[in-house]
Amino acid sequence: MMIPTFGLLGYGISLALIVFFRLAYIGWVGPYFLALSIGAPILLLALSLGPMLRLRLRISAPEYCVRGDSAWLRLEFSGLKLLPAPRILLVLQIENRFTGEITRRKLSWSHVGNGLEGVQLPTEWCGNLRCQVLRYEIRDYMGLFSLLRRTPLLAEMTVLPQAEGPQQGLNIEAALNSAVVLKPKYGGGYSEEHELREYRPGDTVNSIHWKLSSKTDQVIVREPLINANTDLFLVLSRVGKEDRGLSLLYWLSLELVKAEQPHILVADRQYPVGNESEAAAALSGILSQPMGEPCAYDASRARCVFLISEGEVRVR
Amino acid sequence: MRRILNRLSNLLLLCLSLSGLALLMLDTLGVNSEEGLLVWILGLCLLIWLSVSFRLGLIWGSPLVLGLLFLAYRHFYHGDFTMLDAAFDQLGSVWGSGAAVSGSVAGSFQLIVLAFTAVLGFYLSAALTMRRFRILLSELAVLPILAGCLTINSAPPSLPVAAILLFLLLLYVSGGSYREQSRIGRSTLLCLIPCLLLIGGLLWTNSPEGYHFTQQEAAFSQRVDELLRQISRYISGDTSAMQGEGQRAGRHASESPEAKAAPAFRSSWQNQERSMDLTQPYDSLSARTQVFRLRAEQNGRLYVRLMSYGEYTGTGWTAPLEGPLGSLNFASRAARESGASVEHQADLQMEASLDAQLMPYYCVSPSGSDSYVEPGPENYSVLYLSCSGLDSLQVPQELREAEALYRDFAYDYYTRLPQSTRQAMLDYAQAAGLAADNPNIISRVANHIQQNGHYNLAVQPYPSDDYALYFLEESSEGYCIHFATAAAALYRALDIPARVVEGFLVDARAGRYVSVTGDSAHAWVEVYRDGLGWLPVEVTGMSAADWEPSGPGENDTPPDPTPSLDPEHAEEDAEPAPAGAEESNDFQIPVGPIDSTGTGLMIRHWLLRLLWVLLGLAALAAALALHYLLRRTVFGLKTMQNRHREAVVACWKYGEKAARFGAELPRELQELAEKAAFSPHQITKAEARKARGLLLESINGIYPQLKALKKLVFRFILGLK
Repeated sequence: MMIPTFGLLGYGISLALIVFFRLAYIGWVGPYFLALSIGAPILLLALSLGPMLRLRLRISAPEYCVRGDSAWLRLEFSGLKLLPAPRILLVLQIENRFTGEITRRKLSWSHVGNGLEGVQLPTEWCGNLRCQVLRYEIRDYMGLFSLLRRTPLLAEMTVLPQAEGPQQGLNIEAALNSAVVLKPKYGGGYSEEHELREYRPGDTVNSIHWKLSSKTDQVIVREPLINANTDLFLVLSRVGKEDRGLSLLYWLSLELVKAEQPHILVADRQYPVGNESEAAAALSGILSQPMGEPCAYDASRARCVFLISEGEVRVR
Repeated sequence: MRRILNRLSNLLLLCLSLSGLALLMLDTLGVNSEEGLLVWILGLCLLIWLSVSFRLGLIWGSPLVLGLLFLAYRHFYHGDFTMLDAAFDQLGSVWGSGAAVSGSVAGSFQLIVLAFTAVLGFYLSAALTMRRFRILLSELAVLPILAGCLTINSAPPSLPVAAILLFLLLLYVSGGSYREQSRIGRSTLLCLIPCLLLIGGLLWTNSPEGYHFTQQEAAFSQRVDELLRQISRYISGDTSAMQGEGQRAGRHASESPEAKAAPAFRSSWQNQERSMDLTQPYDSLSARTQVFRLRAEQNGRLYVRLMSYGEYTGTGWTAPLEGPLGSLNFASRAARESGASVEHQADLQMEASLDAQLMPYYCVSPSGSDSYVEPGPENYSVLYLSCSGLDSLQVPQELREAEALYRDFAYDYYTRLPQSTRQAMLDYAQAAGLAADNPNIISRVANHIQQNGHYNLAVQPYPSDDYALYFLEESSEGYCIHFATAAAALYRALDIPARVVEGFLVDARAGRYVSVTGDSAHAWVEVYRDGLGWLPVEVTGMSAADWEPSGPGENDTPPDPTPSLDPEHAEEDAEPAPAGAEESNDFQIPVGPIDSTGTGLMIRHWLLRLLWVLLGLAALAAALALHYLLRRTVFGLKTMQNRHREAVVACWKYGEKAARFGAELPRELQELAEKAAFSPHQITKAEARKARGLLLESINGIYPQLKALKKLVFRFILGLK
């Protein structure tokens, strides 16, 4: 849709002055200026029309970036031929869906050809950035008319936290070992861990520890044990200053992945994590909506719960 | 490639603007520029562009520019330093006067314009590479000069104007911000041809040669002038003049109802009776009417004679009595016979019917009566002579007897005055120390009238039966007719034959038709010199303190008395005539500024003031831009030098300057600076680059937060960004 701009007002004033000049001035330049002031916008609009109509815009952004690193929203201009587009004005809305912050930027480029332009995205805070071009317009060379386009263009990027551990070192292995709770392995079979107890009706004959039974005059059976709880929970309670909680969560998740310990991130919902990409995806999910209270989880199933709150990790 | 195209487009813009402005300024100054001047200007543009476009270019570019200017000095300027001084002295007076400039001084003018162009070029180069306000800053330099030249020169040459307009058009195409990465150059160069076609096509359809100012346009222009004049008077508090003007305008309207309905071309110099009635109010409606168009062979002001008058009646002048020899012009014959004269041709196209034919001084072959030439065809050409030292000539031997015969007639007829006027004039002359036997009495009388009269176009009709006496003794205010009447009467009282002449003062442009309106009508005096004939004398003067611009005039601006017999040698004879000064040259061809624009005196007066102010501002801005470029160059040299230790210290020092504006210097920069300053360790290139990066980061961080004034100081005074 072609719309006039405020430049048209300035042009109108200039034209009025030139008309006045034409009437008051005796020299030949009077009519010449008037003719030129009418002819020039028409010519320049005609020259601008091609690029204005042909220009196409697409935007894209990297899927992830680490907080503090520079990340760019890529604007790809295409469709132009010989003449570059005179001037492009664009309203870009960037919404951080984690913090809820919405910023709008008015951007402009002049003499744009086919190619890429970049807009630096804010990566000071973690969050899922939803970048939306609300509208963009292409102006002619004189800036009198704009071709307005309201095609919604969308791109998303997640600013992940930097994976930083706690200031006081955390021995993950020790924490995991100290938290082992065993339970009988139903159905029997082999197990590294087992316990000895008196025979109870129903126990299989194979489970009787004959040697010990002969020495104690009681029928003793060997019951295989397995770990009572297999789940590892990483619970994000509060983010804290400088997104410290997120950094810890990410670090811990990656460490557990390295230790081949599948785990569950608990925030607004539970995110099972088994590898690095799942960790990033889980973080992305967490950062895609405002931070709230962590969802309920079955602590009785938990082998170990890492409770992260304001830069501290507590192990349950 | 993109960067090269961008810079080339800037070079193109620079060449267009500077060449157009320089040629336009020279034309406005009345200088016929040499053919090679354009090459000099283009060379200058190239050097300036090279200086500004490349890093550290100023270091070697500035000396090259100065070298080029020195070569230009050697080329254009052949005289001694006094000629250059004279050119500077006359720059102010010639600017806008349209006076012809002689060849030697023309060289000085070209040199001055070239030097000005160089300064302007540096400013424009800086403005064209600005990231913001590129159009505004460029227009700030170009438009005032263009407006000033157009104000002064209503018939500017077409090519320089077209070049400037092409520059402005391409400036809009290239946009208001310059970035090396953008495709400004591509846009500019691709749009060049269509813009050129538009400019050329419009120039072809609006040809300067075929342009005519219509009566309707004249009427509108006149109303605008009157409105502006009234506003000016209201501002200056001269309400009485406003009332008088209004009354006069009302009377005029009531006296000529047809003029009120449709402004008609009518003035005192269009009357079949060939007499002049001084009591008639000034016919302002004819001021904007185009009377004729004139094309001369050279630049300069031409006095174009219409007719002269006969006897003084106290309130006017009668039609002249025919002389015994018809149209025999002794002065032109003497000039032609002397061999020192140059013959020129002027082409005239009449737009209004006049009762006499227009003849520029000194016309070679006038045919008609002693005081006027019968009207002829609408378009005609005349030959006229320019001659230096005319007052020392004598008529040829074969004309001596005829001249003696005519002289008797002149002394008899052109010294006639009413007895009461003669006696009063003699008393006045005695009181003023003027006597017929004074040496150089003609110039003394002219100077006396010029310096004691106050030019005022809005003067009321005198409440007297003797206008000349009333002007001299009572009013002292009037316009050219009053000055000429008083002077002619005073000459006659001193037994010097004199007559009032009406005509036009034309700002001629070489090879181009100039439209002449009623604004350019003028009156002066012809004095008879024994043995030579009638010579014109300019007697209209002004008191600068008292003169106020009063809008359109039948004779417009009070002329600046500058004696010159030859437009081509005007500068050589351009000694100002002080009051009562003894001069060798008794006769002065009338030379003075004219209002050639048609927009009225007031507009021109104020625009000229505005022009000087804007020129001052432009010079200031150019100086600031130069200062900025130098600062940035030094900044780059210091922070990127190969001696890394000094570079890091320089970064810290610049950082300290930025810190005064609130910039937070990173700890790393301080550590690097301390290391560089106090540690025996070597500073590596990477560390120097890091220090510079940290400094730039701090500067870029603080700059957007500064207020406008602080930004100005931060950027342009300290050169930190």
